[in-house]
Amino acid sequence: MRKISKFIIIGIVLPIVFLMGSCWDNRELDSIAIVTGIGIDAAEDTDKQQYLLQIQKAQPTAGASKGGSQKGDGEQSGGSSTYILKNTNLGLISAVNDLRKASTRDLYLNHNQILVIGRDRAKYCLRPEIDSFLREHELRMEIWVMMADETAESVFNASLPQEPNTSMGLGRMMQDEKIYTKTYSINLLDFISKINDKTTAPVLPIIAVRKTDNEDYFEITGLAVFDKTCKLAGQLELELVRGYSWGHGDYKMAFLNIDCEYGSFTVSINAIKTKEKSVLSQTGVPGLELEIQGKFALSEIKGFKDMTLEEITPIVQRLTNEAIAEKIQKTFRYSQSINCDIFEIGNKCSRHYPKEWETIEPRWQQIYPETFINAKANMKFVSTGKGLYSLEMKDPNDD
Amino acid sequence: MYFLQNSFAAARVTEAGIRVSFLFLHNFCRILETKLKRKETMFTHLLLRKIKYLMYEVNREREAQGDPPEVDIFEAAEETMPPEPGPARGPKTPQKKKLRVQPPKSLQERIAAFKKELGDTDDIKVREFCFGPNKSYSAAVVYIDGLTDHQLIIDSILRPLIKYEDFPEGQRGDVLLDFIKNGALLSDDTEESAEVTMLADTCLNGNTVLIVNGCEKCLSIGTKGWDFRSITEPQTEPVVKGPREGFTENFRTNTSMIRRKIKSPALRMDSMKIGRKTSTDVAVIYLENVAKPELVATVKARLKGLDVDSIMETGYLEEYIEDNPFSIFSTIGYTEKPDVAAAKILEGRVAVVVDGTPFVLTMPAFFVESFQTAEDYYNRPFYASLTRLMRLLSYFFAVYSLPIFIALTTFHQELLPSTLLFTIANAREGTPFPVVLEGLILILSFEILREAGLRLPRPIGQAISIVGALVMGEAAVSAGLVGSPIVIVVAISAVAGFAIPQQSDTISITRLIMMGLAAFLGGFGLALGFLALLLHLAKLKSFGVPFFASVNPTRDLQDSFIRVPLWQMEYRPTLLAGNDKKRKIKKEPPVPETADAQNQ
Repeated sequence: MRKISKFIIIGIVLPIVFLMGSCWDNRELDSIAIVTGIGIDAAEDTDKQQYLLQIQKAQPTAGASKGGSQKGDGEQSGGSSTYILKNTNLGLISAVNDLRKASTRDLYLNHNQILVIGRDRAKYCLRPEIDSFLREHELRMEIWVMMADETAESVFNASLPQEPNTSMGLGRMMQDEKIYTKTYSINLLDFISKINDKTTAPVLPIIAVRKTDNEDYFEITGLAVFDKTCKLAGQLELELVRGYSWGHGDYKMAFLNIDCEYGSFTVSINAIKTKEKSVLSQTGVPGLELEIQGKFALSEIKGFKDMTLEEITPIVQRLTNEAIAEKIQKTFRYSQSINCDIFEIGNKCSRHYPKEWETIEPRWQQIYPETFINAKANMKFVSTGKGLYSLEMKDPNDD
Repeated sequence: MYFLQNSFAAARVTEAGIRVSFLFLHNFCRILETKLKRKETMFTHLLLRKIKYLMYEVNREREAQGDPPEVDIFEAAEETMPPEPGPARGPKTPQKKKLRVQPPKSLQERIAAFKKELGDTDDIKVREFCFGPNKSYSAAVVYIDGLTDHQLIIDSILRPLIKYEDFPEGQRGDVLLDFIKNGALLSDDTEESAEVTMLADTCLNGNTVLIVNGCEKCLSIGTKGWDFRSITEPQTEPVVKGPREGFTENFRTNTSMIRRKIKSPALRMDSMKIGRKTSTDVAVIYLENVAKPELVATVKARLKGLDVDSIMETGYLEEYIEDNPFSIFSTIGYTEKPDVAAAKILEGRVAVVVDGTPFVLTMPAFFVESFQTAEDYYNRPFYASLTRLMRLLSYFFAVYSLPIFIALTTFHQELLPSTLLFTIANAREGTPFPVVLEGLILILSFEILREAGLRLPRPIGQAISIVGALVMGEAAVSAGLVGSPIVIVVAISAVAGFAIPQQSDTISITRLIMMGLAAFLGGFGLALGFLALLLHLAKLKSFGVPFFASVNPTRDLQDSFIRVPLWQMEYRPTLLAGNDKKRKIKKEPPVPETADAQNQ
């Protein structure tokens, strides 16, 4: 009896093992085309979009044709190591399916690094495009999302001196940008969560391709702001982006140039923390109180002729605090002008004042231009850098 | 006279009858005991009938007052006697020949009988000589050339006998032998016997047999002396820090080396001879009280239950007495170092020394023992713990690196970092075989190379590794037959395997199995394989103790994955220690004397 039950168990377990096993998902590396970037551009037919897949070309490193001495990762500076597949279609997955038929290798989407949206495409609703990323398990959610200043194709076609694969390069760029600020490094998850938010306006970094004589480079030119219909509503220039970053408290390190009547100086600001507090005004208009704390050090100073350090310190501190607060206000005023809640005032209000929010929510678009931010910077002057006195300043020891 | 003869015969017959019936009764009980238990009723029935018939015959012959040949009855009885059921398995070992008492014979006859017993080969040497006053006594020494020390025979037997003049004249028998034994011979190891078989046995062990004309008994004198390898550094377990002596092929040397390490009267060495043809010396060594009595009994019972022709090496014994004959894992430890053997005995294990091999078995064995080396205990605990963890890691690498590579590159490409994937993809480009086949080719050629390098004479062995490593590896990559990443992975796997020599055999097998699973089922297969391996290991037992012990959270963890300082190891391993559990009085770090104490 025991023997029989053993055989029955084996008879059940083995088919399960092999049915559940992934034997038929087995694919050799030389049978797949690794997609590293996905781009979406506007097509002539407004119903359709042009989809672009940037694919890493596999180059035999030590094949007999190249001789035994060829080594390295195969990325040569001259030739491109990627190729681009294009398809105009109704949706991303149908485009991928079409391209699969046209490709000698199976398209492998798991290693996709970035999603680039062309400016023209961003002018109308992005929601349908995002849907496929939410459904298809091969498409990852941790990819960087960005808007091309021109078209996605121009981004993929750029020839960078260092990175033969532009999407890999952009991925690295976004990763490295995190050292200074998290503002630009927006992955699909962040983007979707902001889209799903009732009032918050999603933003995307704008990537521009700058051309020189024989090579190109990328530049982040600002943040694209999308309204709640997920259309491109406006653009934060670099100066305004600072206010946005400080308002969110995710600037890790920044330099700030300030001009004043005595001269000009540059401070390096770090360890910034932003304390947020959602408030309601007496008339029931939601607002935000921000207190920015951090440390700054003098990096450069010009002017301040014949002034001592003791005289300068309060001035520098006051001006820095004012400048930071002013930058936040400036960005906020711009966001009010395009009616996009980039500081998440509505979101925070709904959490703190759920009852009041019920009356505010239906009229949010009208209320937002009336909302306010009280920004107060409270920075600590920690260091004058390596030197104490500038060459133009008055050294108390001289007396 | 006739009456006397008759009464003697009657007495003999009666005696034989009693002996036979006693034997029958004894056997009868034993048969009932064993056979009935096994429910082989038919067989028992037949046997009983046979015995009854024989008893009937014996009785009839006794009644008929005939003169039945006593020996024949005896042998008939022996034939019906079932093989004695051993305590554990199989019948009992050497079936001794019937002892025959030799009637006094002439010296020449006795020498001839001896030679016949020993097979009359060329290496049997006989030296006849005369001794005593006026050289009135004659004698002979019989020994086997090559097993004996010639100088010792001359110095301890021949010279004293021939030179010794104070023998009483005209003595015979035991008196003379006593004179020789107690008055003349200069040997510490002498034994009297009249049995040719027993004497021949001692002869085969290197003793010299002294046959004295006129004495019924002979003397067996210890003159062992053959050439053996001297104590050298062990080949399999070399150490940087620690004793460098290793066991040799000599049985006595080996036991003495353990004795020298543990100078305790509690050290027990129970010797036995195993192998009907080889009668190899085997000693079971343990510490009374420290080792569990059940364990010692089990080991002894298993050894005694053996009925085999030969024991050539500990490997023979291992296979005969291990718990899990069908497992790829060996559940008996071995060592070539006396210090390791002694340490294991001190932990409560039992060591088995076998004559003719420098390897000593220790049992029970734990899985973690494969990752322990003697040096772990001679180095600082921190470094020892680090190296031990490294060994565990390399075991994992040795078994899994190649299967994981296969699973990652054929099933789970998404798990690789993109840049790494590109590099591997570039290397795969243009290679003709699937990854599994590449891996199989490389790993098989590695195994072949290793085997070839191992068996060849050393100078050629090096040439093989050069050819293998340089030509095959490099050429295969540059010819585009295999990708270079897999060569690296195979190399890591191979080198990691060398870090745990005790498990190198199981690593090779499990690696192949895991490769198959990874190729078929990817990561799922690897998980299955890992689970199966874990279950199998957890199921294994070594002499009643779980093979996977000291991996579970007990205090034995102090000496498994890491090695805590020796002063913290207060107790012997939980599952091994007998009554004497503590090996240290207090669990305290060494305290340096304070300045005050020094001043006092």
